Amino acid sequence: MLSPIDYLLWFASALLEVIVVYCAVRTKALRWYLTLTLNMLFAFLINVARFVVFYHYGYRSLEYKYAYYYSDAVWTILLYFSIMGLYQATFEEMGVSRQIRHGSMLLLGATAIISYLLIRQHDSQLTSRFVVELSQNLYFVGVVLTYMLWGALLKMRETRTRLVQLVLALGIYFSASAGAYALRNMYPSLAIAKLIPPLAGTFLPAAWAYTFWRVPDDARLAPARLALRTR
Amino acid sequence: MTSLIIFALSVAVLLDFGLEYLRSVSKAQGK
Repeated sequence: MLSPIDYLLWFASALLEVIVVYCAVRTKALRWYLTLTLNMLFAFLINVARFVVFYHYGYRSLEYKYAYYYSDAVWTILLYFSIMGLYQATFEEMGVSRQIRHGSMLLLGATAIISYLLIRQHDSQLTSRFVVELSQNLYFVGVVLTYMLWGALLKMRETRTRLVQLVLALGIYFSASAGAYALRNMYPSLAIAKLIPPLAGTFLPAAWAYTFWRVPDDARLAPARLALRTR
Repeated sequence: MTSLIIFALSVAVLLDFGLEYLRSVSKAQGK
């Protein structure tokens, strides 16, 4: 059974995802952050699809489990494109979009192959195991990629407040999700590990909506670590 | 063991990102 907190987080995240799309369109941020905005639109559609399955089959049904894990895999792959979008926004002046696109496709393919190799010995339920494994690995690859991007932002002395806050929020989401997956692997019945993903899933659209809504496109702010270095 | 390493790394990165995000938001609001 889902608790009232679960329902609240579910509806709040769906609502916030729509607000992100609205704020991005309203503040004309689509030019720079198209993949992020499209991601939020897909996230909303995924939430609706999950709710339809939940409503018809119930929380403990096999159908809902399949819908949850398959949509989670699709969601992590879409988020991966968000990171690449942020890489492109960071390196836009260097004209390396094509290299970033090729590199990201290569990494995505490598993650899929490694996930398949890891679960190859389990013949039964191959596809569902593959989907779960792929999601877990993509979350951790997401943490690494976002941290690398953060390092690049610091190195390039990036001061665009919007870009900095969008990257930091994505980093929080990925690291919290990867940590929750690891915690669930170690202690499968731990309640807090099950609460972290919906909390992180609500935080990400809330943070992105806040950034698009409150931070103007031309706002500049040196990250704390960078400000310390330049003093 | 792998899960423990991933968990430890994720928490460390989460703290780093979290603190930096809070600083960034509070600075942006202060302007």
